[in-house]
Amino acid sequence: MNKRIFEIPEEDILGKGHMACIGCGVPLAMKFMLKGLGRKTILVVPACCNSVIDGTYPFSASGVPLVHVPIAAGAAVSSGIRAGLDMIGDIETTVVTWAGDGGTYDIGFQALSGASERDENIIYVCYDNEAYMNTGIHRSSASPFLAWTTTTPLSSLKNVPKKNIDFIMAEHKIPYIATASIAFPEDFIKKFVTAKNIRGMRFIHILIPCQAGWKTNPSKTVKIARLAVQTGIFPLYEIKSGKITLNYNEKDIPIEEYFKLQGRFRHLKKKDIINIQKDVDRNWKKIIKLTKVV
Amino acid sequence: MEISVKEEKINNQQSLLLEGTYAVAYAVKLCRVKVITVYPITPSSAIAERLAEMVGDEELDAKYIKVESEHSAMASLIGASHVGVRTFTATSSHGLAYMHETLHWASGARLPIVMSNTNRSLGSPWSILAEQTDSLSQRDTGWIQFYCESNQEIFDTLIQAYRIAEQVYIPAMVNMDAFFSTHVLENIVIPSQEMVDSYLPEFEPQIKIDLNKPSAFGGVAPGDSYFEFKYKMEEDMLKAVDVAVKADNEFEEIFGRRYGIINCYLCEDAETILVMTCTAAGTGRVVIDNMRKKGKKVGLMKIRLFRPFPSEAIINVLKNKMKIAVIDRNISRGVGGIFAQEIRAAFYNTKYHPPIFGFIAGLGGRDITPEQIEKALNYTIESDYPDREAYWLDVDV
Amino acid sequence: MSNLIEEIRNLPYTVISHTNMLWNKTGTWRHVKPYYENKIAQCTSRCPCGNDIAEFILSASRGEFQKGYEIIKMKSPFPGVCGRVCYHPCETYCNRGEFDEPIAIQMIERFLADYMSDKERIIPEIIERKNKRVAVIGTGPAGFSCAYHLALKGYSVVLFEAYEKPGGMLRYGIPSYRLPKDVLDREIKDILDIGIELKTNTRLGNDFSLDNLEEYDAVYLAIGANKSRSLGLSEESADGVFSGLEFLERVNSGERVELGKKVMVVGGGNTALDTARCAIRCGSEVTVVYRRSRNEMPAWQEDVDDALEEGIKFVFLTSPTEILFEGGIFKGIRCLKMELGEPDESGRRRPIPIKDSDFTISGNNIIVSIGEEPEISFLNESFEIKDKKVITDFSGFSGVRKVFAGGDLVYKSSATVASAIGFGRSGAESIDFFLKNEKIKVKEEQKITKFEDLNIDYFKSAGRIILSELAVNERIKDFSEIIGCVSSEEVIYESERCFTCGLCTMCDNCLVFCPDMAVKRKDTGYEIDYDYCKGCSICFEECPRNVISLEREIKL
Repeated sequence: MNKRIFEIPEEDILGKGHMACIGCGVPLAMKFMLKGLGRKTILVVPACCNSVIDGTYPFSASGVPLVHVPIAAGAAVSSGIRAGLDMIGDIETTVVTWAGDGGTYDIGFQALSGASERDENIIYVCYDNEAYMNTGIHRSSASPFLAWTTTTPLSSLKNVPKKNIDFIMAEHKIPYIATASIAFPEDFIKKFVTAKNIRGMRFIHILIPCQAGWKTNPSKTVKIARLAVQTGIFPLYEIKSGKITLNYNEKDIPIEEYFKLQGRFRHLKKKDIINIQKDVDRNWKKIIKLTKVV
Repeated sequence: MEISVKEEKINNQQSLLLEGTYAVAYAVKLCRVKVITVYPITPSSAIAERLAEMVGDEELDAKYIKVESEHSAMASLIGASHVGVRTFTATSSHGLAYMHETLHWASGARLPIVMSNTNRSLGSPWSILAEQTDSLSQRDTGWIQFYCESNQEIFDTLIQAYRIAEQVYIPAMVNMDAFFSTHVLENIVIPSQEMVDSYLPEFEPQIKIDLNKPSAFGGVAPGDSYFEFKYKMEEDMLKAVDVAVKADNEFEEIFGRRYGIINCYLCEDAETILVMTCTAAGTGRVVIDNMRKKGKKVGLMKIRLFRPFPSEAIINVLKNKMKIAVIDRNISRGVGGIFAQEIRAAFYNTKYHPPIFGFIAGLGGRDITPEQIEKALNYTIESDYPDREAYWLDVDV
Repeated sequence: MSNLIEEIRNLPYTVISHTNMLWNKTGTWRHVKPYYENKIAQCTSRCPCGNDIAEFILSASRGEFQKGYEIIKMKSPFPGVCGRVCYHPCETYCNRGEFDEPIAIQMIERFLADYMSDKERIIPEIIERKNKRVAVIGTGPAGFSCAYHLALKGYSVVLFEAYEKPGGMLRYGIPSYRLPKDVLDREIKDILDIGIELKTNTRLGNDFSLDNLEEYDAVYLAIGANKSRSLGLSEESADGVFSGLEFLERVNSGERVELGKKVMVVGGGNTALDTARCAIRCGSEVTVVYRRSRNEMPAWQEDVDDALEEGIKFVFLTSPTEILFEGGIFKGIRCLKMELGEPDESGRRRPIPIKDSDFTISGNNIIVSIGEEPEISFLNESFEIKDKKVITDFSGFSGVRKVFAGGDLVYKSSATVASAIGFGRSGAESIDFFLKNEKIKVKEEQKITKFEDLNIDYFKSAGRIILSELAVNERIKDFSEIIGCVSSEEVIYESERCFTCGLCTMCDNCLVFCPDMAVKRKDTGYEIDYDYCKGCSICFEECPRNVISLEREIKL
């Protein structure tokens, strides 16, 4: 009934007392990630919510070494740490960039693309709450179509779609790409265990509902993350050496169920939802087709 | 380009005919740098090329990250330096400007990164020739700055820079002129690896990433500590003057060469001092000789260490002089030449107030000719006080 | 100025943070506080016995059959009985029913009893023996349940039974094809083995009266309702005419009752159907005559379906007006057709005779089974009686001296085995308070978990197990049990379908999904570290079974 197929390690590396908002999904993601990667991990954190969540001097909640860096520098600093570790003979420690969507899709993209092209031996994690939340819910290229943000208010909503970072990363031909969700912890942790054992550039994209920016009930964070997967808006898949595998095969819930829990979509009209549903369906079919490509 | 001339092996040293860029590459190799990132930009690109060969041929055991921008170049070194290894990059003008935020970050994080910068004009409009405005624009970033005249000086200063930076935990940049240094061949004495090893021990920072003691680096310093950390950084920055002097003296003991944080030529009995830096100072020296022959009591002070600003040393030399002429190959628009401004500021709170004439020359790599320099000195000698912040040579004077 | 210098001297040369964030007690951010609070499942709330259904099914799902059995035995001594005869309101209200199909709770209960039938069933140890004696009159489900619970509490109990064998309606009313006698005997023996004295063939009103019970400190009256109502027609006591209860008593005593070829059964309740189905097993053709339509029949619809399958005919909207004899032999009945009018006090539509619609149904026997009532003629006037039933207060006290009452005897009982068992248990508790001279404590209402309270994201649709039954033509050959028991694999499968509403199963969801690491395992449950819990309530949302409750926390 509720037997877990994959045992979730009990030890928590991320410590209590961190500064995440009530009901924030970020510490959940960090918690699961560290359970998958273990203590021999170095985190590189460009400016993002986690820069604040971890705590101020002289405190740090993460439980592993963490290097704060400027927002555009995530992937580059990781490349440097990796080079440094290799030079001192440490080939075990995992170097992880833990970046928000802004530091990945926009200002950090150059460094990410460069590191990917060089196939740097790092894990790049984009925890995506679909806006520059830390600075005040500002739109990024990860913000969804027609989502409200403070820079796309109702009078000038975002009229361009969310960038498909996963497919862009796939075209960099890196060895491992995955999407992960905090609502599916076993799948999530398994992906990090898999990533840890692969050499080369690894990119993992996590969707994080943000109660403050998405205008949702903090208690519904996990449920909304689950709905994103079940509606096909955020499909769970892995791309290993170019081959896509869907991890969650069902798309059986209409997107309305996802939208109606979020204040940032409250203004959507019926025809908007119909059009967005069409896009989601089309994208799902495309992914299904791609899974059959050898 | 490099040409091996003589097998002049004194104490296991070599003598090579090297361009400035290649000299830098050799210095990096002898310093046993572990992580290198260089993004190519004219006219410093040959450093990237030569180092790529050295690493590829395993002459140098290092990781060379072929980054996609200068911002990422400095960011990568910030990463590597946190691990506790010796790092290097090279850039110029726009590349340096692109790294600006990371320069602040590196110095704030107390990482002894060493960088070779080629002083080149900044656009708009485009120019690839010599001018010091690029590195001077970064004078507030908390980096140690050296300005070097000859290729041998560049080579030696790079080695000294690691020693100084790793003692005070402040990054350092070594500046040289575009084309006048980078693309000019000079006979360089290359010391042996043993000599360099004895001068520059292995880099072992007190604080670095430690998996047994997980910590966060560079987290938010709240209002009750940021100020204090900055005080500490400034304390160490000011100490760096003495550290630089000492490093220079110790360099002489092993390598036989010393440059001084400032370098004075015929200054003791001079009445008027010409202040210059980098390759143009060489021309200045020739003018001093010529003018001495004409009976003028002039001398040259070449400023080598610019940050931290060696106010004490400078004032010691200049305090009793009648006039000072500063030729700036840079411009801070709205206020004049930067060296002149800093020297004037150094004097203000003292009881000495010799008139300081500021001259602007050589922007965009234009030759600073002996005639221009002599004109500037003569104007200085003949005028009582300057009537403006900066005189543009061949325009105002 | 100088103390700041000291501070600066002591700073590291770079901004490095070693210390954890445990100093930051984020519990102060909270304005909603989650806490663990087990709730009652719908099934448990509807069970008249008060069985802890979610608990025993949870044990069954883990293969812990003995533990599950013992959980049932804490509330009811008759799992094998109820597992066969109960009308299972638990299944009707099962939350799973709103998702796909309700859990086969009754079958699980029966399985547990059958499983333990050949294993050692531990007689519970009585910890504290009390030196008070209680007389329980009647060994039906209410009487046995009361005696059982009183004995477990340490009282000395004596059971009085009018008939030769104990069991009441369980033995003499319910046929073997529904409740085999060996199952009943086994469960009765387990009850008596605790140390209860049984006096059979001892009838209240005949062999003794309430006045003879002075030596007992309390009395529990559970004599049931075993007097058949009559139609009020003449010749009702003649040959060939039976009352439903009388017929059933004889059949259930093992007698081979002689019936003619065609038998009519008058009535529409469970007893009437039991009667009809026994009659057909005696070899007759059976017709059930009922004055209302099928919808108004008080009998359980499943039983009506079974009866139809077995070949019993039904004649609705028909009421007998006269019993016909020819030469002293029963010939048939004269009937009137009925139509349905406005609802009466029972809520069902009243049958209204249709003028001039007389007709005759011929047959060899008629069994009148139109209802039962208690035999209360011997009870003295001090008892409050309404509709031939004794009135008691909420605790079961009759108002008379030390006499409590329960089961079909009392007013507003629902005439089911399960409710009788429930009566017996609450009667025992009331007597316990009475004998300890304490005021009866009314149990606090516990919250009930409704379907909307669950998080069904964690459950996948799965069909209910299919119960096996004897084929129809096999069934009516004799009185063998119709429904077969399921296997242990099927029980585990079915138990795993159970949502376990309101009861923590240690699924770890709250622990896994807490963003603040504020949930830790503790013994067989969890505890929340309120120093750090921010009150996001994700645990509340993600608990599949509504074990977490929220309360507002306003700090001033």
